[in-house]
Amino acid sequence: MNIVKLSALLSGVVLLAGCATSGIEATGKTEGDPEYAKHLVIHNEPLAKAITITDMKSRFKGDLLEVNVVLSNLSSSDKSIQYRFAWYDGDNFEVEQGGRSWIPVVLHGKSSTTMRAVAPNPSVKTYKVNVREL
Amino acid sequence: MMLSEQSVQTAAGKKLKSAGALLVAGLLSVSLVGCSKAIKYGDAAEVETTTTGFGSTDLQQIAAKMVDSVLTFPPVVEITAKRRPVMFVDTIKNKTTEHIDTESITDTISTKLLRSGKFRFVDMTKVAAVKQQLDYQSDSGMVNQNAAMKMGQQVGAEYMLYGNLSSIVKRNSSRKDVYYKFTLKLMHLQSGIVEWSDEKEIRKSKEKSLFGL
Repeated sequence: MNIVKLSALLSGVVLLAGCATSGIEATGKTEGDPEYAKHLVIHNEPLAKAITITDMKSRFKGDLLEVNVVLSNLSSSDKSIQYRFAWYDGDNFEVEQGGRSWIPVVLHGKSSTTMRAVAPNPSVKTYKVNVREL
Repeated sequence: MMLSEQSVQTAAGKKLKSAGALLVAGLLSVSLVGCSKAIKYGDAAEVETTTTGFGSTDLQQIAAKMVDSVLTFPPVVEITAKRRPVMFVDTIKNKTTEHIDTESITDTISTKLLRSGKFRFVDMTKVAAVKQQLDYQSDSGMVNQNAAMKMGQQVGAEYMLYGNLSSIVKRNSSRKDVYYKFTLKLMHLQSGIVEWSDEKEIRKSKEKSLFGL
């Protein structure tokens, strides 16, 4: 029994060690190429096979950039993911660095969720969203 | 004779016990030294899931949702398009059973709103200190009156930010479920009209692990 417990624990440790903290990264701009797929960087192939960004939209509410990113789970199992937005001004300098934390979301099997965020101030022209699984 | 033998045995037993206790204590101290971990800095933006209690990730999620919501609500966008209204933050009523620093939540929200360039704030926690300083400037005779800040020139707040934090906690032998609901409202002080309100719900659960660890 103890051996069973130990081997199960060890396999758990191995599985945890195998988890990648990298994920999918997408960059959006307020003007220019609307083909968001071109701005997609995949750091984690297994995650990219299960989860994909299906839509990226942005608009100005007053003078603040509002972003809508749709994330879809292609697999039939629930996925616990985290996402974070980063904001850049016209000179590509990060705005309010560290102001955004990772947001945890449960993405149910074969379903989509919308990640919505608003730029911290009117100087934002570009945004980046990172998605990872933990 | 029997009594003295018994007493010798008890004394020997006591010695053995104390030696055993010493050995256990020694082993424990060695194991503790062996387990000590180096202190390291972490990422403040990471998701924190140490317990089901209210944590930094909850605070960050609430602040982000509330700030995004108020800044994009059409009537608020209209109000803030040409001017920066002044607001003050009332307390957030903590209706949960936990001790939660709700001022920390409102601090984060007001800082983000201020940095958006859309609102300005008056800080009601510093009224006494401001009064003391203004009294000093006007009454002490130490300050050049041409350069002194005048009394009665402050700008009154136009809006008030206030809200509630409540929770529902349920548990059975294998699972604990915590539901938090944060409600924030923006009231126009003169008319008493609530211009904006939003909620953020958070659900956290904890299952007992497979091996009862």
